[in-house]
Amino acid sequence: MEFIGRLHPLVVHLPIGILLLAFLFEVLSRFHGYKKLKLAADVSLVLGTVSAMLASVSGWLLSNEAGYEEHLLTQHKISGLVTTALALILAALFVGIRSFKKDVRKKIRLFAFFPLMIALFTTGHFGGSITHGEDFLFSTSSGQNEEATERKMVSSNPSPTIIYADLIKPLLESKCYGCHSSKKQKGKLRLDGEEWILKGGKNGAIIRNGAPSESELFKRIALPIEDKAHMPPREKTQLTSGEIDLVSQWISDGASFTMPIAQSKSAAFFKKHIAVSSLPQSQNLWPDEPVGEPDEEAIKLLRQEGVVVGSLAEGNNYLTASFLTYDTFPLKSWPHLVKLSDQIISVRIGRVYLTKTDWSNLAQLKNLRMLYADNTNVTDTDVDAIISLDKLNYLNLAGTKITNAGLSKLAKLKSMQQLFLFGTLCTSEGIDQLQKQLPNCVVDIGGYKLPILPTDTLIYRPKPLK
Amino acid sequence: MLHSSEQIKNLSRRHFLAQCAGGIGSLALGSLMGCSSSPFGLNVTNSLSIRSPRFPAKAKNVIYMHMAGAPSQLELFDYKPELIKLDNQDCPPSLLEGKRFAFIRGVPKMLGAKANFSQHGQSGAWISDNLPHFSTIADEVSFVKSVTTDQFNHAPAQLYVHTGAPRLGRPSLGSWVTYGLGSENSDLPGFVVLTSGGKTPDAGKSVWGSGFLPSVYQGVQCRSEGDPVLYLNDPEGMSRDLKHSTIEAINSVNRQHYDQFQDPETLTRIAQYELAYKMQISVPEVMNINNEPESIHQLYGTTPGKESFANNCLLARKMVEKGVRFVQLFDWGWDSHGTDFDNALDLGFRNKCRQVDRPMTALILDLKQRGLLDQTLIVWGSEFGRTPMLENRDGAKMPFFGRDHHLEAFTIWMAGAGIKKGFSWGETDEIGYYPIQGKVSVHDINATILHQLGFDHEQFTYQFQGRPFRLTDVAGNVIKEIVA
Repeated sequence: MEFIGRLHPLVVHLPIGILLLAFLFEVLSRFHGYKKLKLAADVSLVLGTVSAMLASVSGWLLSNEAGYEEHLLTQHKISGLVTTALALILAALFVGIRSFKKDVRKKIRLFAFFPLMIALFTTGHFGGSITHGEDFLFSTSSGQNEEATERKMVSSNPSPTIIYADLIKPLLESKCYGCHSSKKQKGKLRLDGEEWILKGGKNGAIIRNGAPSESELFKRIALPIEDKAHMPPREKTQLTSGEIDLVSQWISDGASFTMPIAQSKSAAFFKKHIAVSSLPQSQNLWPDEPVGEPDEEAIKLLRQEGVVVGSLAEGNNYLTASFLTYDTFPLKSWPHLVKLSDQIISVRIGRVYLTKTDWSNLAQLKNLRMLYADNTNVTDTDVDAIISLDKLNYLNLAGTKITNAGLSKLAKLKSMQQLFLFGTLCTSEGIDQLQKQLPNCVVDIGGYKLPILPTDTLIYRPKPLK
Repeated sequence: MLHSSEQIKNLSRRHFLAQCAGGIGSLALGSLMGCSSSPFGLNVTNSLSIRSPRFPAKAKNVIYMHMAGAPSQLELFDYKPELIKLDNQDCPPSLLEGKRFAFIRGVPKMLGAKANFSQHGQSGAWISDNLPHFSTIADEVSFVKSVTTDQFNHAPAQLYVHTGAPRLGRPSLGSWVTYGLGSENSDLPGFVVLTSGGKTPDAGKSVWGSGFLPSVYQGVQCRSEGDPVLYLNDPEGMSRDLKHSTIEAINSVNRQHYDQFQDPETLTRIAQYELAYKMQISVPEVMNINNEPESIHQLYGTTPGKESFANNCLLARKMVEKGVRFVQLFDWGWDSHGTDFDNALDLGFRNKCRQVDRPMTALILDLKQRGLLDQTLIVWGSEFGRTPMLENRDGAKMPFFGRDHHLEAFTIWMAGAGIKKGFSWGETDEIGYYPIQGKVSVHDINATILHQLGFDHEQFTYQFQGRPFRLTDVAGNVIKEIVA
């Protein structure tokens, strides 16, 4: 029975399509040359009615399963039944009016269709709202929205003060709200507010104060991922071990919704959690969007030239080009490189000498994300070519003669994430200036030193034998 | 000229299999391999040319620091205040029953840490005062404190860590990696080994051997004292031109031989001659640290011309900068049994700590400032750990403080290339005997290293003796927790 219910998402499309088609045939049959379609409209109506009944039955069975938002479900149920009923009435009506005069019959038929169409669309809309969320239709793009919330998460409250509001809630928001909030309540559970969390799900309360191991909220996230009851479901973004510990600690301490971190008895734990999660972790620098296949001939010619051309991964069209064995840049490789400009995302020219032309040619590699130009002869004027590479997110200028003048131009590169300036002539003022315009970019000026410690030269020696 | 039927007769089953693996593999990779510029114009597919990982990956290079002999985790990273309280008490029988130790016999005493611990960085990592410099970069690394192994002697344990098997014959991690990814620099070997401390590891050169992989993937040992690579220099009176034409002649004969017998090892030989010729120029260049600025020498604590771990760390950075795929560092002298002064935990061991503390810290900082840390995976580890008990060799008290080989739990750390910063995974019990959380195996570490390089360790195989082999054999799980 459960199986038939699960067929609902499939079956439901039949009445929508067929009844709509019946209506279109009915309208078309009024035009000269399409009269025969009247019969098609009749047949479609009967088929559509039968499929609507099937959809109703399967929908009813599916609705017994938990996890759908109540009021939407009721609306969907009612409108679905109305649609099926209207379809049946319409079919009966069409049989009943066969003896009527032709033009009267035609009018009745057309107008009788309208309520059915309205009911059909209403049902469809409610059904869609159940599966995709109520705001699906009019939000710009739900995918982007989710990503935006996740991004926001990372840089949520910079100085967290309340355990629940600043640590637990953002975590639930990014990993749990998808199925347990105003949009959806899988297992009749909502997690988007204190009252809902305390209310629990269909099996009752999810938190037992002070006892994480007896709290459903913790048990579910701590189960091994292979376990059916594990949350979030396997295919969704998982909680990190640190986040699981966080939930555990919060419940152990009594699951308070107002407790400030500073007053908590586990303040040290939460402070450590904040400290660790605020350490900047490395980001992926490669693009995710697909790109067309590269020009194989150009790759071959570059390789003959001695340029090391690799691909980002098997079956991935993005390319990297390395010139590590060169002293001066091979001028002949430019035409081939330019042919591959869509695919090349990384160029390694560390310690290679480039002419003015080479530097300006670089601007043509418009899809470049990573440029290793350390220890090159790049000058502040050559930076003009670099700044037209607007997708650049890694730029290595360590060991070059770049000064603040060149540095200030780099502010145009808004997607820059990592910039290396070790051993350049840039000053801390210049870097501060740049950081103001590129707050998300990690600028490393290097020059790290390790202090000379008294113990550095301490060597234990065996006592000489007497 | 042989007829084709005779040629086929010459193909043994083994050649056929090797050709299948290499042949079909290179068909699949064909678009990516191509031929690199060869000074000899021979159209041999270069086995070291760059190849793609299975999926996009953070790590492009690896620097693996192996402290041969097994340093004590209890004097470095695994802080056990409870063990200090139990110091000098008899070890409870429950920890000894059914166990066999390399040297401990009878009932040993417990031994509290011969070092002072404190917390470091925002992550609050516990590190002992034996590593004052390394403590300052605690927020750059991920510790794994729950590694286990099942080999209690150095040589098999080292083989186990580096080749995934405690017996001889398997390719080493570095060989697998160069086999999988090739090299970004055709003038240098893809896999370089640097040793310090006077001895090669107990397991001998097999820990960087290529096993059943083509021998072009074996580690090339470079020395920081004397000739960088042995037997690479031309004899007196031999000009580079003459050398060039000699190798050209040898290679063309080899080429004919290959056409006839199809032995892949002949291709390796051709490639090795070519590489050796290029290395005559490129290796002395990359192995020369004289031109590094004084500030860098101070950072690492290097003295040019000496064989030291510090020099090797600086060389490792130079190699990675030049595109060497895998740099393996071995340091020797960590076997702290307490048999003599040099391996006493409160004496010689501390000297050893000082020898590595500054250079390994400097290496991470130097890679960081050169923008290479995010693509270079740093692994620091050993073949096993050391017991929480004082060693009593054959029941007799030792002259110095020492610990026996311990298989149940030891600590390694990793950094760079998408490894979490300021993180620690796995926990041992209150005396550091068993892992109580996040237990991992040697295979798990290798699986994680391959993962960071873009390989699924279960899919990354080589056909040999009728079955696919992999580095992690039939085990291994990626330690996802330490991956950012």
